[in-house]
Amino acid sequence: MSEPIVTVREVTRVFKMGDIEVQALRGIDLDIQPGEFTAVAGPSGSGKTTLFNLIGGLDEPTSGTISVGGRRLGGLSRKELSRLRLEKIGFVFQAYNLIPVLTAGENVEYPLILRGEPGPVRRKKVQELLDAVGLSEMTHRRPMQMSGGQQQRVAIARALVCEPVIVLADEPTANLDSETGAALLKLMRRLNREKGLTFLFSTHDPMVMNAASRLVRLKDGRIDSDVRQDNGGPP
Amino acid sequence: MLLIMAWRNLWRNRRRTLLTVAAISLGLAVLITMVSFTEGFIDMFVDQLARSSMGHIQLHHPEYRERQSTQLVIPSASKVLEAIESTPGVKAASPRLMFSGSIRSSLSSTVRVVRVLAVDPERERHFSALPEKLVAGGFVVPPPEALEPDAPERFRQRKGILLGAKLARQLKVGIGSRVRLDCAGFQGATVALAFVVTGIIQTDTDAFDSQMVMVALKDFQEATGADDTVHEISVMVHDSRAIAPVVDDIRQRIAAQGLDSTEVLAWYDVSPEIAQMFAMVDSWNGLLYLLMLTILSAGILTTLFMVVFERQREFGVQLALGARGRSLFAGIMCEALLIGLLAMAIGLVVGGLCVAYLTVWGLDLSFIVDGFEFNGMFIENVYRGSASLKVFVEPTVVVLAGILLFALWPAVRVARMKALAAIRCENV
Repeated sequence: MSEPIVTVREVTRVFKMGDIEVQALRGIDLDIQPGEFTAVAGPSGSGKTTLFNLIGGLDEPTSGTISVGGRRLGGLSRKELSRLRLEKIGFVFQAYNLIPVLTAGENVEYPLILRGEPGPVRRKKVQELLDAVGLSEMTHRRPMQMSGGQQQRVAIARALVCEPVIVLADEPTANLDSETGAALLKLMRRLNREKGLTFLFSTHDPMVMNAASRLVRLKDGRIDSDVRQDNGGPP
Repeated sequence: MLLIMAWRNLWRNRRRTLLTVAAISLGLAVLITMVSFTEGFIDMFVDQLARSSMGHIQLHHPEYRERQSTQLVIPSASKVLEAIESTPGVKAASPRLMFSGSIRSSLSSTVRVVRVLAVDPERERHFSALPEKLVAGGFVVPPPEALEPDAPERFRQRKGILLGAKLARQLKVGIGSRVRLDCAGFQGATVALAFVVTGIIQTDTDAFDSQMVMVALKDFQEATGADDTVHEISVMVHDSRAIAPVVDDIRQRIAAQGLDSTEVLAWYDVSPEIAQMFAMVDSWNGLLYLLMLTILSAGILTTLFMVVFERQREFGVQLALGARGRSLFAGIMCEALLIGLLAMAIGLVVGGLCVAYLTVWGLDLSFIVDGFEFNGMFIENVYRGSASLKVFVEPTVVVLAGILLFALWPAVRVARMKALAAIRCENV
């Protein structure tokens, strides 16, 4: 078995809300292998988003360790975490979160600019990614001129453009109708199979759970079940 | 990309951006106009000062100003004058002898104490504004009978004198009247001189109109035994804002001729009270800048903090994608810079138009204040603005620098945002 892309060891996360302490995660152990198409499911408040934020380096665990792409996140500076997110992690948000003043092409190009890639390289990659998500005709459209599904496709292209080791997709279909959600899931599954990309979803959408090759269920901040599914594939 | 994003972000809230730009432009235009007004006032004042008797630079015997003794003269005046007139930046120079004396008409017993100013008429004509104030006759000219080619010798010996209008009225004399002037000569003895009134001047300055008489320097040097000496040389320069280097140059040139016992002073050293008044006007400008910056801070901080609050989630997403705080900082600074540049362009156009009006037509304040006399000068009631580079550059630089300075606060705030807190809009 190859080295896991993500390693989570005995991770806890406690939030303080005034005098009250809320235990969002209570000792999580999780390994994500390269090429996995994993869904983390669970009811609201089960700790899915907290776990995602920790793996994405957006938040720090109260205890435990997390490694992404072989690097332990604990102790990394703000600058190092930014670099790690830029180079190793792709984010897809529930609300798309495209930059509204940039066109679809510019949104995809944005992480490459942050990485300091030269113009011709950027343009080539942007075109490739927009082709891959079926939006080559939408390069010059602004987010508000696109549908929710199209915006989420742009967000996926943006997440993939820096060739990350893992794509973290936080409830990517939650704001989409079922047909559009299914199409999007199909697209991500195809990218997973064809390019060997590793996806980690947080979801409570049964369609996403069924499509996943591995389903991790969280309950009250703990892993309730971790099941590999042979039927992994979009509906 | 940073500039493109900043530019597009500005127009996400078109009305707010336009209002901010309009407020800053208006402030800048007002600032430019006010600075033009005060600079113009100072320029006018200095010009009036120079064109009265003072000039921009004065040369005296080192003790003359303190003791006012007629014995304290500048020797070899013609050599000193030559050195001054060859100095770069010098526009005109006028040598003078100054005495106290008494004057009476040959037909009246009225005697008046006067201040005698002996000038080189040709040089003084190019120097001061006094020839423009003539109401009768010529400016320190000989009587016509002295110029007749076949005039008898006693006629040719007659000298002309110019009187203030009030003095002429008091003496009941007019053009062609004969007057007698008594004053102390260089040897201590009183010198009595006869003159023919050849000019009457009205400056609306009481001290001048009632006490001053002007005669030709050459005539007076001969009559008093002053030879090639004068009490004062007034110098006018081309650029009244660059007097100090000319003063230094004149000092060096005079010293090179072995005449370094002569005192060379700029007008602000001769009349420090006027220089102080200008310093106060400058302080007023400083106050204007402060006021403008206060208004500016309110405008720019409100706009940029609104931007920060509204786009907090976006900033969080950018940070999550791997953007560094400094690139968000640069984005906010770019937006501030663009607001500043837009406001600068509009403010310069509007301010430029106001300055053009002030410079060409001036501002007539006669409905508030009439022209007034100050230190022997008549200050007019039409104030003209200055269109010097300083009028435009200084306010523009202050406003632009102020905008960037105030933008630092929201920009630093954005740069310090944490991705997750910003996405959750927890920063505010």
